[in-house]
Amino acid sequence: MNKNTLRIAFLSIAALLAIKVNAQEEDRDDKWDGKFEQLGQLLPTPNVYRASDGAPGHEYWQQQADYNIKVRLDDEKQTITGSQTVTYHNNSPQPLTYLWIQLDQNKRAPGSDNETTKEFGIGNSRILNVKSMAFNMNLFSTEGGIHITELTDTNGKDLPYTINKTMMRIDLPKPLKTGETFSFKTSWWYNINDRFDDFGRSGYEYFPEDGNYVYTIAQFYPRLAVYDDYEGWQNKQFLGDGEFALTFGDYEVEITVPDDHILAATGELQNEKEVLSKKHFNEFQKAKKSYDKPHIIITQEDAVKNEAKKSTKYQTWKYKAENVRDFAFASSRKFIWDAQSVKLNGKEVLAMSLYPKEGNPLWEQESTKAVVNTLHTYSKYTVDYPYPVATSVHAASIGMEYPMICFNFGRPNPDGTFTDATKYGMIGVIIHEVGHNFFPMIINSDERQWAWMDEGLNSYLEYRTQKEQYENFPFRRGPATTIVNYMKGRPDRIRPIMTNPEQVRQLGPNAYGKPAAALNILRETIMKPELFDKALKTYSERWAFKHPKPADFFRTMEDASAVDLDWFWRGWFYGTDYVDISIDRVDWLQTGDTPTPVDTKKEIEQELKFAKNPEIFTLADSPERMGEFLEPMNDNDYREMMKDKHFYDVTFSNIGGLVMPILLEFEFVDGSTEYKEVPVEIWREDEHQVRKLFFFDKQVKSITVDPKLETADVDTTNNTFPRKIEESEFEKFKARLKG
Amino acid sequence: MMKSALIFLFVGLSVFHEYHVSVCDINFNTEKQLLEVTHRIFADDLENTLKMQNIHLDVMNRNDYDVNDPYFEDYLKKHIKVKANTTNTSIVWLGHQVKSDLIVCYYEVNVPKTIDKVHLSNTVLMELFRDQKNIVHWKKDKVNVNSVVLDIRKPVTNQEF
Repeated sequence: MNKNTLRIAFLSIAALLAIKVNAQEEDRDDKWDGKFEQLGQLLPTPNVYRASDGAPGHEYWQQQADYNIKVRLDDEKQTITGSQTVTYHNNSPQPLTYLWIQLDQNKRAPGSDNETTKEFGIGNSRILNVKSMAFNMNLFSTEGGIHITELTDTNGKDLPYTINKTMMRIDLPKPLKTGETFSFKTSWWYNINDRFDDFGRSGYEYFPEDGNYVYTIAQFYPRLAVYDDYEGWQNKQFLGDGEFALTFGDYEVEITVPDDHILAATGELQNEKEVLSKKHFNEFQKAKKSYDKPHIIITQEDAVKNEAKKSTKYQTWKYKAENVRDFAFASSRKFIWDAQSVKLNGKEVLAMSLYPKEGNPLWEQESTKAVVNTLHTYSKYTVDYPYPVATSVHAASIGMEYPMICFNFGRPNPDGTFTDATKYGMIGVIIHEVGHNFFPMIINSDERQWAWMDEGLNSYLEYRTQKEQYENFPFRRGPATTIVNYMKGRPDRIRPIMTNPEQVRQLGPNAYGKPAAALNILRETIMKPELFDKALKTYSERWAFKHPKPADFFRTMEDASAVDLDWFWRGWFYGTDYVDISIDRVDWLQTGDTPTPVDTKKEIEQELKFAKNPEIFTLADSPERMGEFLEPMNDNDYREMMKDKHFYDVTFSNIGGLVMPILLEFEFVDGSTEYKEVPVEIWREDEHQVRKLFFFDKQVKSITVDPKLETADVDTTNNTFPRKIEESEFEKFKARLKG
Repeated sequence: MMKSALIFLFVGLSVFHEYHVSVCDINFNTEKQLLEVTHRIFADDLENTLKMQNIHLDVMNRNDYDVNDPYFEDYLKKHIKVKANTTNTSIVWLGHQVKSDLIVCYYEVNVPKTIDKVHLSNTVLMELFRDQKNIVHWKKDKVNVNSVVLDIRKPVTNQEF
């Protein structure tokens, strides 16, 4: 019997407890899964770069790439043309003979892996949405792919290069030694994709009513891949789901766009006097001093006037950004613009929103507010937001993050009305995408390999923000109950969290929902808030502006809290078990002179309710001498103490496989209750079944496992003793209809 | 009209990954000869797919219950087909509840006392999301029997009892 069939067998037996206990006992001996074994060999050996406590090692190093970019957005042909000088710092102990550069736009090139490796069939329903079909036939309106027009050293001498799909290797004229820098120049162009036809994290949206575009531009320049101590070059091809791994650096970027466009970008605007009208320049200064609410810099009225201009003149916006891992921008004549200054521990950050009128009135009401709320909550739990600005831009049907800027959905109906679903969806996505500044933009994990390291941590803090900053927010992720349905799904369809994102069937629950719920359980139930918050802050502080790996997170959370968590990482991150703890049997006993004889038949058919009267057990006399000790035993004193106690000998079984603390609520016949927590280590010797003795002065009426639904237990019908035939949700609803 | 709504199709394709999942609990109540169905659907997904049919509802607004409920009934009846022992069987709609960001739909299906097999087709939201997964948990008199995941490639299942 393999593990899965066994599990299913257990599930179906759940109501026939009579045979269940026996069946389990037979299987128990050969089923040790080592659930409490230390992660040991599963984690890489600590070294001088990554220390055993989860901190960066004393010789930790990372590369740096500084960019000087000039880029032009052609509003007539929808193209990006750019040139850049990149200065690469080799801080590694290795000499480098080549560099790897990411050409993300080649994901859109005809015949790319993204096109050719799509798994798809017509399906048995024989009905298929036309858009879905077109997508799978790769019928796109824009011819994608980057065209490299120049690649030289700083003296203009050509450098040899090879393009392998979404990666480009530049051969260096001589090995780049430790501590040396190398600069090169490159020029390129590409067609901007229409996000409506061609999808994508960046691109443009066309507005047929006024003939304008909203451009949200990212992955627009050749970007250095990460070279690190862990796996050399991270040059795994860009297939679509595995996002980005990027090196930190300083950016100076000049963006040329039509002179009636309003622009937002990563970093701080350097020439606001040149590019803004006098009026808007003044409003911008006012916004920087507006601390209690957003100040509108460009009004809807201004934006509507702008829409009609269609200027053919261009102007250049200059930006600087320090210590960022990427750069993105948004540009349109349609933008309304508001901003508010946020004080974070004496530092001021400008929270901004840009949106076309199609986003109003929702965007002027909620966007900047959501940015402010996110900065406050995330800064509290991780590190103070270190950048000067944080901008939320409205772009239809997308949520995508870049340093200091993100593109977010949430569009009201054409008449300006909007539903709760639209509003909460929009606030949720803004918190999520602004939150990504912390994970992975600042605490810069490798998204191409580990989606959960940014999405999971971010979704957890997104939940905390929604919980702390909004009333009655309809949570989608975070609480344990939100992940129950995923975790009880078919085990063969579920991958461990520790899986590369390209191989996951449902990235939403796998990389976002399950780790978010797991972290929430870790905080509320396992570690408790004080220890968890401290450990997460330690991790954030240790790895801010560095490249952490999973082991660095796992090790830090333990090292900073003294809570043994190997079992937790094993179960929740490396495995696909789920939580289902059953309370199988309760014997109610009291002390007395004559023990109740054990009825073998009754033993087998243990009923799932308390006996009418307690069974009696006898306290035999202690031996005259305890070992070598000379003191006599005070048997009678102890007997007196135990005399009126109610003893409960309780058997629990672990059906789901995932070990968890046993949380219990005892209700007494007098109506009072008592809450007890049995730490997870109760399972350390037997992972499948445990017995535990409880005793009280009062008689117990019922026992409930996980009374507050905080462990993601997938089957609560076996959580009560005596078993309650719980009214199902369906029955409750139907009864209400009749009532 | 169709154009603007269609963009929702692939929101979750590679960017902001949402759960594209609905969960259907079906309990075969042998005494009452009923399949009792509790069907959880994300509110925004339902709202968006109805929008594609030019039906504009505020699905999470509890004050709109009476307006919304018939549309949910129509939608579910279009997307859920049940055959008990090869006979087409119609759905009796009971109503819905808004719970957090979910719409929980309740409906039932009259079936014969002994059924060998139930054929279920569940295409809920598959017109909206290519990667929609509809999880079905089968129970008989409240005891778990089986769980299946339906998707666009195979939106049907046969459950034996």
